[in-house]
Amino acid sequence: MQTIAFRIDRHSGVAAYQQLVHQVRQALRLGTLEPGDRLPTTKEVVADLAINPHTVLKAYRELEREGLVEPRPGRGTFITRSLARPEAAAGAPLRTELTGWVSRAHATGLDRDDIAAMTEAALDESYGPRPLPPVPVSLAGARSTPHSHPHRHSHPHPHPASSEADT
Amino acid sequence: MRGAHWLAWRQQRTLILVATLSLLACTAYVWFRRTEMLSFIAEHHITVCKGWNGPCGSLFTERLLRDNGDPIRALATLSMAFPALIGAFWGAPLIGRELESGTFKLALTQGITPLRWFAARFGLAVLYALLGSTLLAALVAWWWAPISNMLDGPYWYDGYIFNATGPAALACALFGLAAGTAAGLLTRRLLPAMGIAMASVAAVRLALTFVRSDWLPPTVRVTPGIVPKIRVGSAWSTGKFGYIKPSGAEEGVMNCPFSGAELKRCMAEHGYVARFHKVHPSSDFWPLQWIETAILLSLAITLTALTVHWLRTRHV
Amino acid sequence: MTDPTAPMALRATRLGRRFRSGWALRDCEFELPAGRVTALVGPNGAGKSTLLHLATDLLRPTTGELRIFGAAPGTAEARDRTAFLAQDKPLYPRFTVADTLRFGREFNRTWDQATAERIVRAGGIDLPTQVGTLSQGQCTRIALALALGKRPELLLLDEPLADLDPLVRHEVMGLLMAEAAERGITVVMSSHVLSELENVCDYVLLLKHGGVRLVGDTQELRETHALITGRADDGADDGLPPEVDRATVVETALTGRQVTALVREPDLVDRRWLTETPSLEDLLLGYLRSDARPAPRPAHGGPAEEAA
Repeated sequence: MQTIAFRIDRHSGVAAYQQLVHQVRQALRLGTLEPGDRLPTTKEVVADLAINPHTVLKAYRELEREGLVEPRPGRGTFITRSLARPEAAAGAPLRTELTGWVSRAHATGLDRDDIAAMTEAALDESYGPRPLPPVPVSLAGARSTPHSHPHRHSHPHPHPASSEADT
Repeated sequence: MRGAHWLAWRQQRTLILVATLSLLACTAYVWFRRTEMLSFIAEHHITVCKGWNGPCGSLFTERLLRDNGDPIRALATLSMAFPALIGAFWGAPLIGRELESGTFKLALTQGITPLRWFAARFGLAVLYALLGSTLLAALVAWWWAPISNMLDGPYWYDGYIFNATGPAALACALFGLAAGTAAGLLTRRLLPAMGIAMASVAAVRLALTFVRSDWLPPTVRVTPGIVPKIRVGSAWSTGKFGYIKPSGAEEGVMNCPFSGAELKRCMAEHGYVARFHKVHPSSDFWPLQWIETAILLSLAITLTALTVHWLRTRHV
Repeated sequence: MTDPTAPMALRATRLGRRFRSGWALRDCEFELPAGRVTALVGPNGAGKSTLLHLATDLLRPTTGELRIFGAAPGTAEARDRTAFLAQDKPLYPRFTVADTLRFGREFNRTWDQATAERIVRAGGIDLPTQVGTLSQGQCTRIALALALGKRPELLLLDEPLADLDPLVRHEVMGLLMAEAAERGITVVMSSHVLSELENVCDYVLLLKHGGVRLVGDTQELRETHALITGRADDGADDGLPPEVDRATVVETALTGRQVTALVREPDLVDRRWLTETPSLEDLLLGYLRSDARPAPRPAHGGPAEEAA
């Protein structure tokens, strides 16, 4: 049985290998992947996603560098460490508190974006601001609509490193 | 079967099956008809005599020839058409269909050389062209031999017999195959290649039939005085008759009436000492056959060499 | 990722091929490293199919030479190591699938029947089925089974995805990548579908007008190019600031007051200009559209010269 089903968003602008790394981390946080689980083989992943094998190798190397997985020759790549935080799990005090806070904010008539902006601002106070991503534009957009603003790649990159490497 | 031989067999097995069944049916039919013909000859004590004014005419011989002449001609037509059929249905698809459908790209990019791919498939086609044409030529000759060159039956120099039997028929089948193969290569399309194959066999056959009597000098038959002329028998008349002067000079046949006392007087008046008739005796059959075999074989070899040359220096 | 000592899967030296209609390829010089998935890109008539036919000995070059792992196309060595999937995926329509695989077995010294059968069965195709009754996608699968059953080191694919529906495209590409992952085979595939190459290819060879316009590792190429965007400079026709070396500009597009340009080896550090790394598609489109400018020489040495 496969432990994780990867997916690639081809239009996100995020390098494919980073998407894989991100999804493993996410699964570790959510607890859907646990130490001892075997990650799918490179062949399984590329057959599923139709992507270059080097992308998977690079993602697994990155995870290995972060100490999250360990390759065992001839057997596969195994999860060694969990990222699940008991503090963040459903039912944990902090989580319950936050849920309560969100319900109160909702009750006062704030909408989703207002709350997101508030939490973002609060996060910035504690963790420092996120670097601003550049606004990508493409030549293709400029050429296809000669008298309007090009806006093909409207998704902002989550962080600047994303536009660097692909495979 | 291994390698290219397996492919040759796999691709041609339908043709081989159809051809084998047709040939077997032909053989059975000929065997049956020939047996029937021989018993008819024995039953009615028909003496076989050569020449179209031979002294053997009777109601039975007429019936013998009427019953067998046309079926023999029909079988001979099949034998004559065989090279065209081989060219169209065996030669033309050999490369033409592969070029048309693109499957040559599949075959030529595998582990074996294009030459071996061609040789195995062409080789099997050659084998079958030879087998088929030999069988048909032999059947025609076998059925025809007992009543050959007789009265108004088929003669050796008739297109039906000459083109349908002998080594030239085999060589013609090879020519048809080579022409079809080369046509497929040239046109890169199956249907035009089939047309070209049939047309080229017909054209070469016609041309050869047209010039056939010129390959060998005719035998001059001389009848001295006015004694009755040698009958033409089974010889092939060139249509050249006439009179001979004492000097040996030949003069045209129209100078005198054909027979009787008037002929005698006319010959004396002109000083003619003999009459002549130029013919190809039936013994010319074999030299003429070998000449045409050589011509057809060299055409076949030339076309095959061109095909192989293309395969070696490919232009897709 | 490029190891200079790695053997070259494909090496062209002054390669040219002329047809009656003119030169299809001219003076091509490039090297494609082994173990990579190379995209062969170019507009129609750029010489992509001609190049693949030269590599499989279906055509002979007019000038120069092409080498496959050092061997001339058509030699036994090159034949054994190369498999080719032609654009129209030709198969014998009257053969069964089993016959087709037997064809592969009979015609190749190295043949992996198990692999070929696995690929066929994974597509839900029965061996006794006649090839002529299969769908286009199924035919592609059979053709691929034939190509991969040969256990090639170099797999050449001419528009493998053309005429396939999106689902089959994904399936075929997945199959291809899985085999590439398992055996480390070198893949060279021509394609029109630039967006599908993005996550698949790690090397690119762009042909235009019969010449090489761009060749190299996709990541290196992307890192050595930049898409710059800013307010058009009124002093220049193309709207680019005067300090930009025009020889490095691949393409510019002026839209109202905004100018966007694909620039090679940019040294622009102007805060007023937004600089970002182009996607592979941006890069290829830029080069496909621009005409007059010379292609760059990649850092690791594969010379890329434009045909005159």
